[in-house]
Amino acid sequence: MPAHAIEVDALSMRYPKRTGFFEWARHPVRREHVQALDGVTLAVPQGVLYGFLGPNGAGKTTLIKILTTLVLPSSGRARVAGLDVEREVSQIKRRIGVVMNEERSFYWRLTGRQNLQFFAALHGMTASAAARRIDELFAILGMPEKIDARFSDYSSGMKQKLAIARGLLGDPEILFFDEPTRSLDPISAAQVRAFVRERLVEGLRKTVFLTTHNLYEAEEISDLIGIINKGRILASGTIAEISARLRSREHFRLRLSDAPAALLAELAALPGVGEARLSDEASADEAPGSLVELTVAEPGKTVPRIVALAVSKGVAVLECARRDVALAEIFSEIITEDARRVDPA
Amino acid sequence: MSILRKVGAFVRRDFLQMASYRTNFVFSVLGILFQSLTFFFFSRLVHPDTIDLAPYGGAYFPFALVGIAFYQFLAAGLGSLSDSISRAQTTGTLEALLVTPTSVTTIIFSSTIFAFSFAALRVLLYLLLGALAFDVSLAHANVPVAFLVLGLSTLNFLAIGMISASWVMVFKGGSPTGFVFGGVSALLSGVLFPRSVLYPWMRPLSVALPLTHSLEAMRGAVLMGKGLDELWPSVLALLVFAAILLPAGVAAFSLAVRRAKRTGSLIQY
Repeated sequence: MPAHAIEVDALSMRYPKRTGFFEWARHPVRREHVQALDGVTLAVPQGVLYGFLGPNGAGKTTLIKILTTLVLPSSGRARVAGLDVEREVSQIKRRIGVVMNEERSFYWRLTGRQNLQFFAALHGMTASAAARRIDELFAILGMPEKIDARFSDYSSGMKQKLAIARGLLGDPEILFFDEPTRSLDPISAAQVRAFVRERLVEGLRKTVFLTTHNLYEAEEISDLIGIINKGRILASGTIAEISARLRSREHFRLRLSDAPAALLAELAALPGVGEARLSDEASADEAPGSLVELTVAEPGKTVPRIVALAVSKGVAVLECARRDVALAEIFSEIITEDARRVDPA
Repeated sequence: MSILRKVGAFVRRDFLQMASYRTNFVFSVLGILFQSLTFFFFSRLVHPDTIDLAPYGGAYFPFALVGIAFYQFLAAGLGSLSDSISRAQTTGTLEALLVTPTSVTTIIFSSTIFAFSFAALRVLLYLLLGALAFDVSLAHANVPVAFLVLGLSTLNFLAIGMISASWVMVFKGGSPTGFVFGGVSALLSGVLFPRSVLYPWMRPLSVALPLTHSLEAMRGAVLMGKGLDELWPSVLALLVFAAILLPAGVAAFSLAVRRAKRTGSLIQY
C-alpha cells in the first residue's frame, strides 16, 4: 500500500476558453485558455480527512475531476492509491468512491433503491450482493422507509444521504466529496459531517478528500487542510502547521483605553506591524476600552514599540495578549496576501 | 458476466424510466397508427402507372410503410447515441456513470440498447399494423433474411450514430453526420418514392448511403419474399459499409472521448 493515498505533482490544467460565435468570427484562429490549475503539488496520507478549501472558481472541482479520472490534466502527474490517473483509470475507479453534491446525478423517476441497484451493477455486483450491500448502507446511514419512494420525493438531506450511499457502494478505500453539505440545512449538514468524520475516517479508516468553501466545516472535521486560489496551492498541512508558517505575522489583541483612527493609522505604519484595526468583537464586549487586533512580525521587538507608541499618545494599554487564530482568519489572510502578491496595486 | 449484468442494468433503467411515463407507449402506438393512416390515404393519390413499383410488388402503400418504418429505425440509430450522451450531460448523470468502474464505451453503448430495441419494435408494429389494418400482405415475407437485414442495418446505423455522437461530444451539437445520413438519406435512399424517379445524376449518390441498401433488401425480403440469392448485392453492400463504418465509428468515438476528457468538455454541456 503506498504511503500516500493521493499524490499530486506539478499538476496543471488549461481549459480552452469558450467563445461566442461573433468572437470566433472575429478571431477564428486565436485560441484562449483558462488556467484552472497551475503547478499544484500536494500529498494526502492514508486514512486522513483532507479538507480542500478555496473560493468559488479556485480550482477545487477541477482537481477533484482529475483525481476521479473525469478530466485529463494538461501537464504534471497525479496518483490515486498509487495509480496514475491517466494510465490506470479502470483500477483507480475500482478503489474510489465519489459523492457529488449534484442531486441531478440521480434518476428522479426511479426509487432510491432502484437508483442504487443500477449503480451497484455498474460496480460489477450481482443482484444478491447489491441487495445485501444496499441494506447494509441503509442501516449505516439510517435511511428511513422512504427508500422505496421516488427520488423526486426525497428531501435534500435524503438525497445527500443517497449520494453518500452510492459513493460507498463499492466499499472504496478513498472517498471524494465535492461540497457535500452545500445544499443542506444546518442539522443535516452537521449529521453528514459527523458521519464522514466519525464513521468513515475514524471508524472505517477511509481516506477522505473533501472540497468545501465552508471554513468552519473544514476546521471541524479535517486532519489536514489544503488552500487553493486561482489554481495555485497556497498552503497545505494541519491548521497548526499552516498557522505556524504565518508566524512571521502573529496575531495580538490589545485593549486600549482609547483607539482613535489616527492612532490605528500610526500603529499600522510601525515597522513590523501588518495590520491594525478595531476588533469586530469590540461592540459586544462590556469591558472598558477598545479592542484592537494587530498582525505583528517579530513580536519580541514590535510589541514593545506598539505599547510605547500608545503610551506616548496618552493611551493606556489595559491588556495585551497573543491570540489563537481560527481557520477563517488564516484563510482570509492567505488569500489577501496572495491577491497582494499577484497585484501589488 | 459482469458486462452482461451492466448492459442488463441499463436496459432495466431505461425500461423503468419509460414505464414511469405511462402514456408514452400508448401515444407511440397511436403515432404509428396515424402516420400509417396518412400514408394509406396518400397512397390513393399514387396511380400504379405514375411510378414503377413493380420491383416492390406494385402497390405504393406497402412500399411507403417499409420506407417510413426503416427510416425511423435509422433515425433512432443516428440519434440514440448522441441523445444518450447529451441527455446524461444535461441531466447531470454522466459524471456519476463515468466514475464507476465501467468503461465509457460500455456506458454509451448500453445506453442505446433499449432505444434500438424499441425502434426495432416500432418497425415490427408498422408492419403488423400494415398487415392487420391495411391489408398489406406479409404472407410471403422471408423472415430470416428480414432479420439479417435488420441486424446488418443496426450495425451500420450504430456506426453512423457513433460518428455523429463523437461530433456532439466534442462540439456539443449540430452534427453534420446527422444531416448527411439523416436528411440526405431521406431524399435519396428511396424512403417514400423509388430511386427511379430521381434525376439520373442523383442516383449514383444514393448508392453511397447504407439506408438505400437496407430498404432495397428489406422491401425485397418482406414484400416480395426474396432470398439471399437475389438480395446478395444489397446484403454485401451493407457488409462492406459495416466493415468501413464500424472501425471508423469506434476510432472517432475513442478520439472524441480522449479529446473531451482533455478539454474537460466530456462532463460539460
